[in-house]
Amino acid sequence: MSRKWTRRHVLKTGAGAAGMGLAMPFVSRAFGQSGKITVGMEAGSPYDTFYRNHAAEFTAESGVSVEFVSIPHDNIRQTFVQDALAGGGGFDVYIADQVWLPEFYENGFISDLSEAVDDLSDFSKTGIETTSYKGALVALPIMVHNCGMYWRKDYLAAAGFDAPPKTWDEYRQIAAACTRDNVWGTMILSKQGIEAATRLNSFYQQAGGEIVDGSGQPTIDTDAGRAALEFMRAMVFDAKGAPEGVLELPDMQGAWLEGRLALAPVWPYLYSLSLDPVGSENFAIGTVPGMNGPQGGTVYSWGFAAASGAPNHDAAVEWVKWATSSQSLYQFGKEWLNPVPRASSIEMVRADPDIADSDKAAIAAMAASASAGVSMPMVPHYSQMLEVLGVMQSGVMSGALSIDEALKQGQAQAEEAASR
Amino acid sequence: MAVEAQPPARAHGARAGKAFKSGSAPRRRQAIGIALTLPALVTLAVTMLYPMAWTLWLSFNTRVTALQGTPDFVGFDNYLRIAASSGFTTALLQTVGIVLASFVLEAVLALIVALALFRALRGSRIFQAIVALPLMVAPVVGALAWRFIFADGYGMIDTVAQHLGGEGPLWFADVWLARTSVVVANLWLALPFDILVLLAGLSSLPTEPLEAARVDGASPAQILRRIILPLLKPVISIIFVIRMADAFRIFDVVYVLTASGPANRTDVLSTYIYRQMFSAFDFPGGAAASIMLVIITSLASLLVVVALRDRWQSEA
Repeated sequence: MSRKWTRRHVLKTGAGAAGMGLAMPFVSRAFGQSGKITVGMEAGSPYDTFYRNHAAEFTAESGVSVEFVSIPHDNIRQTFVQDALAGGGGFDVYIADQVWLPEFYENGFISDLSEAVDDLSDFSKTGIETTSYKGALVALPIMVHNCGMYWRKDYLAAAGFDAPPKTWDEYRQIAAACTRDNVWGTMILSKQGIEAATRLNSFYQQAGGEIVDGSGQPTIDTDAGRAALEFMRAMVFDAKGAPEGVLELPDMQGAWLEGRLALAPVWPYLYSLSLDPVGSENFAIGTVPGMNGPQGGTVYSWGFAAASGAPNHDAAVEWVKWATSSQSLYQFGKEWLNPVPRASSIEMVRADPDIADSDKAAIAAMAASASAGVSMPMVPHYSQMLEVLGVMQSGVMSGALSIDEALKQGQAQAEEAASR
Repeated sequence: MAVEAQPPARAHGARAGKAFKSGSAPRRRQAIGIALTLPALVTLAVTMLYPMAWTLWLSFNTRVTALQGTPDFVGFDNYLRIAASSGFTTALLQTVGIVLASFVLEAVLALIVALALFRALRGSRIFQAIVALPLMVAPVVGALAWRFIFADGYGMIDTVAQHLGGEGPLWFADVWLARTSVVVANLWLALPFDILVLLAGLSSLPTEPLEAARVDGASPAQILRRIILPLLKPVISIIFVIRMADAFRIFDVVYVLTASGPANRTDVLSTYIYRQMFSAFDFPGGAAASIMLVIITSLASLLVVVALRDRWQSEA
């Protein structure tokens, strides 16, 4: 009964196998549409870990299984854009940085959730503002935050201070006083890139300005912009309260965790990371100073958006609603000690006896910081505005550009970006 | 006549039969060959030709084409707009600068190292293996390693300088140091290829001319200039052409090390195109810039080949 395999058989079998291999993704997608969604996440982020750990609960409730695709922060926006340009299909849900929401919605990459969500009253007003654009609800928030001022109680006490700075003058003074061997008062981020650029946006706001006006037109070359850039240079070159160089967020976080910084304006997630190496008794979180009083950094949100090209759009919307439900956000706030944008979730965190009082105080401080800040402007060219700011600040802090040149060049480039 | 005519007819028939038989086998082989290579050809067409054709098409259209797939032809508008932008010209000039600096340094260093390793001294083989190591490292990983070497304030160079009682330079805060860091990191990634190809070339050289030159009393420098280098011409040509294309496409090192900063002073064409595409959503502009990069790279490679050929032909 043995059958001789001829070359023809081999070719036929090979061709058949190749054909099946090529067709499998389409077949599996066609059969899998009703029961599976793909969620694009930021690799290594707190929400990536949290939602991976809890996705089984969503599957148990809805019958929809969840596949996560984690993408490094630097490539996540590009990956989503490529998916959307190809007509979608790669993702049902995008983890959404507020920065992208206006441009994604303008280009039809994400859908309006207004009709799918009945009641938004439990969400914080700021939270919903950060995910609304031109009357559409383009995402639901899981986190609304800004940079809090992490400060070392012991270092400030040694320098004669018992509270973090409230104004820029105090900031310079305390940073200079805390600077000693191997410890810097603070750090001014200026490496060209979007992360550091968010700090310059904050300095604009802290100086009473904004990078766009009410109609979305750039207002880069302004007194607030000049004050912001002068403050950055003064902190480093005059007060000597911060190291020279064009530094970036990992530099600041590393220095803070190694105990080489007295004041570090960083995002809320640094709190849980700091507990072990720094010790909760040695640091606290305050609101970032403004030019004339506590102002807070620029407020941003992260949330979930349903991709317009989602193969399983209904399930995608269900995921967004589940992931931002009162219970989910309570768990998220509890596990990651982050401020969350729902009143009921905040109340559950407050009432939870398992959460230490120091952690609750930290969460409250982060919430207060976010309340003091102003949201990023919801304009579709915001990503490009950040790039313009990044060029300006790296130019000024490296000496490649004077403040005048940076403001003038930045204004021209921002106007060009806004006109596209 | 009829009798005479028959044999040729039979012969013709026999030849035809033979031709049919002998023709069917090659045809079958040809068919099998096509069938076997077809998947590869289709894959190539899908993964290379289609994106290239799409990019070319996009460069003559507007964003509407990228977003909705419908044509919106604008001729050479995107090319003119991009060519006139200061961002593109700055990136182009800086790319050319990095390419030239890399080329000169690579040529000199690769030749020195290859000649040193070729002399079969003790430990040469170990060094050859060590030299090849960067080839096995992904460019982005290599760039990350260099970032920690150059990092302002806590990088390896700075730490060593501090141990010696000094302070390291702020590599990323100074325009020329930032450019130097890019060239150095790029050199580290590229040199192994140059060295290994040169070593292969040196191994294949005939020994007679070298021995004859030594017997005639030629100095090492004369042997290098008059014998080794001319014999290595084909190898050097290949290195130049491949590295030219590679150097123009530099992306990872700039993206990871300097992020084009400070103030875009280390921006290169690839990072410029990336920004146009994925930050500005200027897909047609990015496509036009990509096509221009391909044309510039091709012309530069052609120029190198022609220049080397003419020079060597005139020397010959």
